[in-house]
Amino acid sequence: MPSHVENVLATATVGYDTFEEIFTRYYPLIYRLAYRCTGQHDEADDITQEVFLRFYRVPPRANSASEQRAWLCRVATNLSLNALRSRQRRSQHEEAAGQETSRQDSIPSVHNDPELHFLAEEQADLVRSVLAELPERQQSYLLLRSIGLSYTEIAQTTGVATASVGALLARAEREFRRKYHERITTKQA
Amino acid sequence: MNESPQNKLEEHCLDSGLLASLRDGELTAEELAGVQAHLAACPGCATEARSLQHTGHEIYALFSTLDAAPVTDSQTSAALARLQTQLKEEEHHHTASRTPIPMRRKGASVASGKRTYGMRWLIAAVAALLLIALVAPNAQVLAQQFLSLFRVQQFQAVSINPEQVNRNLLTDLRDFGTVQVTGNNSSTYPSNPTQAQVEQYTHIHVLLPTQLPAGVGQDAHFAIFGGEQATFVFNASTTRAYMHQIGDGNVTLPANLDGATYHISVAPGALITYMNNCQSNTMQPKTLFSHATTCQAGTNFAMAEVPSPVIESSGQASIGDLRAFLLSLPHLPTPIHNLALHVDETTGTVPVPMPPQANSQNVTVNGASGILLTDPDLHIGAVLWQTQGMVYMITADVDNGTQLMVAANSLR
Repeated sequence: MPSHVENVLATATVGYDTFEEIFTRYYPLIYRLAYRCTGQHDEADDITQEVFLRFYRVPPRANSASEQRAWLCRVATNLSLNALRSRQRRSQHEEAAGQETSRQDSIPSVHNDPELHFLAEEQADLVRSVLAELPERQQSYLLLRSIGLSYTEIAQTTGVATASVGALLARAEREFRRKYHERITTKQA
Repeated sequence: MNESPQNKLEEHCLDSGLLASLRDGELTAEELAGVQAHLAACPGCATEARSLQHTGHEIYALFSTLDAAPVTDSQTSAALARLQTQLKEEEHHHTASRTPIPMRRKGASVASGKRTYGMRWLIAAVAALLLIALVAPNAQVLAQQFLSLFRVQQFQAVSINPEQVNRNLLTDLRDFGTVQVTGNNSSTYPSNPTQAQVEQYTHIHVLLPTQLPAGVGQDAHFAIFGGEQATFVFNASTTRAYMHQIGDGNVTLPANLDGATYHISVAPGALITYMNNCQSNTMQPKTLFSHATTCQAGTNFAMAEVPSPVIESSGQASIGDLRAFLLSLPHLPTPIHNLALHVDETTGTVPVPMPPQANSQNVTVNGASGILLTDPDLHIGAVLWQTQGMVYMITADVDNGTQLMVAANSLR
């Protein structure tokens, strides 16, 4: 006899889609968002599981696929940025203790060249580190835009007016760029 | 003279928001025509547009280097299977013991990972405590407390003796460390803003009820909640002194708790009141409800719409460590003990303190779960819910919640 969970998974609908359909459709997007922050497969996978667990337990009210996606992205962004902050703190502790900072699992395309691989990892660490220095809202705008959300979806996800998204993004981008180049200059000096 | 949006765009220099929208293909056809016409005639804006384009390319190219290999169908299927297994295990355990199930699959990183996710809701609980102290220093008006709870998935009413609630929770927190509260500079906000001004300053889309309870005036009065920050730092020596004072001096205080810090930043939000025959006053957040309850000419009706706050923690110890320690104190003040106890990490439920005489009920507002509270002694009711990254609260002088729910469901 199927369990309650099996029954729910088989029949629960959000709009016209089953939970399984929603999971399958959005898993790659949510995983990608989480991985951009964590750089660790296990951690990104855990965050993604957590996002869908919450979706399953308390399904959000969503009148459209866009709202559904925005809800998933919002939860994923919050969890991922929390993980990013933890990661930065860990790195700082490890660096202070003279330990090797944990690295990203894999960088595609340069995977077979150790030197390029190292440089790519270093670059990714720097991007995450600069991102972590920004105010949380600016982190969210950049992260969400970087995975391809429209202004309307960014507005739905973050609770700001759609008309404000362009200006908020532009400000976040300027801030990110300024800090990034500061860090590059410091490293080169 | 024709003042169409297109003409305006042609005449005035373009802000970065429009230029970003141009770059990202987010302009309407009319806006696009206006922007392009302006750029053709304005070298300064054209340079700025190119600069923004360059910045965007540079940044998003950097972000794309953070990706792993693309997710495969088999990876997605495997993840779904794990989730289904976890839900079944959870159902089994929940039925057997009603014990919260760790939200992790088995593996080497279980312990550290579990701590990470548990933290979010414990942080929210600490935030709730801080914000209760922040927004309702006297804790006299039930409705004021609701304003202080943010960023939750669900609310759970917890009955707390009013005498204990009246013992200022800010004082309670200072028994464990330092609390620093700062407000944003609100002098730049207009004193009697219009809805458009509120939206401009807060960057939120204000929703208004299309149906109001009987006796409520039709005129909406707006005010801006300027946003505030609070920081709580756990201090071991302060806490030890307090433990001795309450008779818990024999309880072990984990050394790594010292310095645990929680920073809560609340973004600006909107406060809206509807009144009859009352003068429109400049209302600051801390006086919103006290003002409303002194206006006798009609049924008072007030709303708060506030984005979820930013909550950050730092320090050597996890929130789980802090929570475990707090709950280990036999003589911890009941309000803090109950609030910490009723946080449900697995469902994201955060407790809402309420006096015993108040009635609580779980409700659904436009599909979002919330709670409806009515207090026959105070003749006040409130409905509180969270959706789309915003916390909404409506309170009115009503004894039953039906009219409140109609109003809440009519927000547009």
